[in-house]
Amino acid sequence: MNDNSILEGLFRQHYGKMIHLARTLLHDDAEAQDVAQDVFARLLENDYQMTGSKTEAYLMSAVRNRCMNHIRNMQIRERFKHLHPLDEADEPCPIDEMMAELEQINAIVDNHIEEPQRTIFRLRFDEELTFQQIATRLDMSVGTVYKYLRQCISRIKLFI
Amino acid sequence: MTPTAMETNNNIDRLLAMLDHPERYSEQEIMDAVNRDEATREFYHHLTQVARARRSQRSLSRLVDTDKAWKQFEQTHLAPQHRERLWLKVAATVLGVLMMSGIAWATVYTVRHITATDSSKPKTENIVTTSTSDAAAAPDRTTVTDTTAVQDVAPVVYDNTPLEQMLSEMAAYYGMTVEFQNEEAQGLRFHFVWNKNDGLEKVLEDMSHFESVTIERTGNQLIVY
Repeated sequence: MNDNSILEGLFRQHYGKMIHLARTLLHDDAEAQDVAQDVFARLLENDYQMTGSKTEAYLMSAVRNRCMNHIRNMQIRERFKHLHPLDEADEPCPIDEMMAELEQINAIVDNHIEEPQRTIFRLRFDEELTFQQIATRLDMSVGTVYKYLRQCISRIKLFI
Repeated sequence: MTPTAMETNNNIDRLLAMLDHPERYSEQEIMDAVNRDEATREFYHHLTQVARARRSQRSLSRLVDTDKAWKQFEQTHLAPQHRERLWLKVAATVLGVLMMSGIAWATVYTVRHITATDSSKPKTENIVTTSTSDAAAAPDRTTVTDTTAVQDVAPVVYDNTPLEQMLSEMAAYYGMTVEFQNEEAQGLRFHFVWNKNDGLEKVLEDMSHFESVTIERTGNQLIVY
């Protein structure tokens, strides 16, 4: 009973951040939720012993590892479709650094990408349209859409 | 030999074209396209980063209901027996409802049957007496329901049962064959209460709530996608 209240405390304190990480790494909210809940289920099974300062780091890497495992178990086609890494050895960098880099990318998109590249970027990554759909919507050739997206990525690359 | 900028652009464009239809390509073709040259590989790496960045952004705009999540966790992991019991309770309730409706149905049938017999009397009287124009008011009886339909067959409760087993039993009952177009679906397990009194259409409709499988009827065949 007492144990559960400790677990509940950890859950309430860290769950939000864990879900955010899982949603960032995976493309499916339900999966993200399963991952975060599994981490706590595992704690429960293993009769966890948590020391204050390392708790968050432990929970976050547990989420990261589970997500990466989940992606590894997906078919290549599925990974490619959702733009997940295809390379097994792609994830060495610490979580905080990764999240900071993602924030930086979002800031670059907000501040340094002009039209029409910006619209194309938004339609592809935020609305998840296909390139063909974007071309139709903006009445341009799909080759032009590719070109603008290439320019977006080059620009982002300049800043990171 | 390093590819020219134009070659690289072509390689990247090819990769982007594949992204619209990954299902058209083999895993090898996808891997080859991503690793065509260093710049294309790097480009894909940036795409993965950007995709994450945007997912992260979207995630921030959707609030996390920690309270609800904790309750869910409690229910799933802190009281596993409770969960099983809950399922049994649901199954029992469903069974109960089914049996009740069976009884209710039988009652309706009996009452109807009786009124149908009764109503035949005044009718004949009407004909004999031909007194008033009441004939028009004679109850408009529908034909008495087929008595075989009253037979109440006990429902079958599938508890975490492979789809293949469920469907083959149902198919045999309704005189159908089953074909699995989606092999993974064969092993999927479901909870389902099969009321044998229901027609096949109704059963299929109920089963359409299963996620991750689609069952269609074509002639005498059930096809699982």
